[in-house]
Amino acid sequence: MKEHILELTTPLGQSVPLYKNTWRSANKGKTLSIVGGLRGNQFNGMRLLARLSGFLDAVEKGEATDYKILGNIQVFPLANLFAVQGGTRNWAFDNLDFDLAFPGYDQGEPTDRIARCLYRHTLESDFGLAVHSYDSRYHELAHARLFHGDRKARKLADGLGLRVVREIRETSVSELQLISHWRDKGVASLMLCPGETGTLDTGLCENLFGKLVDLMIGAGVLAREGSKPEPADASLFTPKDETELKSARAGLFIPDCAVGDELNAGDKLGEIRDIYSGELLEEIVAPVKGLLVGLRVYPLVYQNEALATVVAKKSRWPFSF
Amino acid sequence: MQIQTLFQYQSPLGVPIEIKKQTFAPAAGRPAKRISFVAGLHGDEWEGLYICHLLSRYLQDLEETHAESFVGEINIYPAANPQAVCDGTRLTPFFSVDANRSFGAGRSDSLPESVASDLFEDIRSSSDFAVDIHSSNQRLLELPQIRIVEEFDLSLTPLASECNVDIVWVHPMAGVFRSTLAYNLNKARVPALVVETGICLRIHPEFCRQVFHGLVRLMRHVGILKADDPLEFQTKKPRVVYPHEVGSLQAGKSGLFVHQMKLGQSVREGEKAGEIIDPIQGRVLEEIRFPFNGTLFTVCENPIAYEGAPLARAALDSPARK
Repeated sequence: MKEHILELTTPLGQSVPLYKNTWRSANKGKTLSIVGGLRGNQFNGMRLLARLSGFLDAVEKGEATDYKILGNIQVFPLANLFAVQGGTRNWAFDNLDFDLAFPGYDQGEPTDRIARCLYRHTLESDFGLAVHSYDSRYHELAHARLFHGDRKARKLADGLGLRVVREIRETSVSELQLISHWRDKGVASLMLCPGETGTLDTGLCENLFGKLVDLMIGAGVLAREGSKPEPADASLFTPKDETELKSARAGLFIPDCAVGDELNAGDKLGEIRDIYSGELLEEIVAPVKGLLVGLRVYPLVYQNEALATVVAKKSRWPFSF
Repeated sequence: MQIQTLFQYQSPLGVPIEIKKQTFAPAAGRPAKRISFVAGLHGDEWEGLYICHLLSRYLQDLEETHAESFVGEINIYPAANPQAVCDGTRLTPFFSVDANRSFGAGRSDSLPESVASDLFEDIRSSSDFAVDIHSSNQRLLELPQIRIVEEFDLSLTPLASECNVDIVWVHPMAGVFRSTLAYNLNKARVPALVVETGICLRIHPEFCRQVFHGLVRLMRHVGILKADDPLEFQTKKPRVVYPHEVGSLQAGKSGLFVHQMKLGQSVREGEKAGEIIDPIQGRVLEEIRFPFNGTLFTVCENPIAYEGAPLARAALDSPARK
């Protein structure tokens, strides 16, 4: 069911509603909240949550007979309404990073109000999933992120069954994020990073849709007749498992690899060339054997910018529910 | 005075982006105390650049005429985010990152965060006191003021009171401050004041001179400058206000806010502040009246108002009970 949860008005008098989609079982079950559209250009996330909402509607109507809703699921497909409408990463009016606006303020301006509304609607959930990708200039393998040492989040990530789960260090910035506030309230919370920002990859979205269904089954808010999700072959990478490659020179970065590549030490990842002469300034090679999970896609680079992220599988896991 | 290039990184054009620091050393021996002034972390806040200019001019003249006045060391970072200053943008261009929300994260894979980390370390290691100068945002015009997070009230308010500003506002902590320069300096035991004055994209010379005089007073107060030069400085004792002594006026409707408020104006409860109009229907949506008696230290200069937008802030005459 599409529920209208907040009404905002523009200076020209136009109403802009904030919605959530909800599905509830007759019995009191656990609650999963999924929030997307934290930026205006996260199209994979938008497609993924629209696909998921359509599927859950079908389950609710009895059209997907193998499935049954056991708990409460709420999906907030578009959080940063004005950025989505403006086609920009942040809303041009305040230029705030929406994911840092939590827990929000209900007497404040639109960004504060939306953040507060989302926070209030989700803080009593058992599980929280923020669908959020970062830099449109940096292509990342679809993966999940969680805070270092968060065991509840690890269990939730296990249900997602993604190839890569990255632990992130808590910083003065990350503690403002929605998943940090959720975690502080005891919500098992994850960030799902659905690949590249600014583009739409329907194949990836379909794959991630299947993973989200598995996560919901694992979390006990959805049941599937017959088969259970296959055990995940996920790897958990801690910050120590990651190697960051940076540009020693500024210029035009021309990649020679793709995210998801399994690399050997010494493999060429790309090169930096002078934008006037085309002269080769620097060759970028993998310093270690590992999996390429992040790659610069915006060709112009400053000196000392991140070009690639390689993870080496050190910590094997899964846990099971 | 020495000008030093602290950091340099190349743009894709091969052009170096440089952060520079001016240093005024003591006339003799080791510095008694050291102070740093930082401006231009947000590239659209130019009042701080002008204040740094006034400081630099004054200190250069002083070096020539009264070199013995320099007891301590003074560092000035007039354009801490040079790319943003050149583009006149709050965020660092190309990276779309708020430089003053990048501190405390340590070195990271992000170039702006790495630069912030290096800048922080330079300021921390060369300062016993610091002042970070800002100009609110593109919407709010501020009377010269210093803002202090409550937990640093005891150590900072006596320093702020020397700075010739109109208001010292001691306000509650919010999570967003944890990634600011001043908060991290204070946590690192370098007392750091945040000046807010004027508005983005403009220079108000009278406000800048007022703050400049205050910062010279501060340097004399903490024993960095000897007060033996002949110049007379303004001395204004600021009003120190705590959260219960600040009144806020907010928009109840979205529309265009039209007002006649003036900074420093004394206002009475019930007095009209302005109105919010509907430019499409030609109607007045809301008549805005002050809900308090007080003196305005913030007024909204940008007429576009969404419901909840801050329109004014005042130091209250009769504070609400704590």
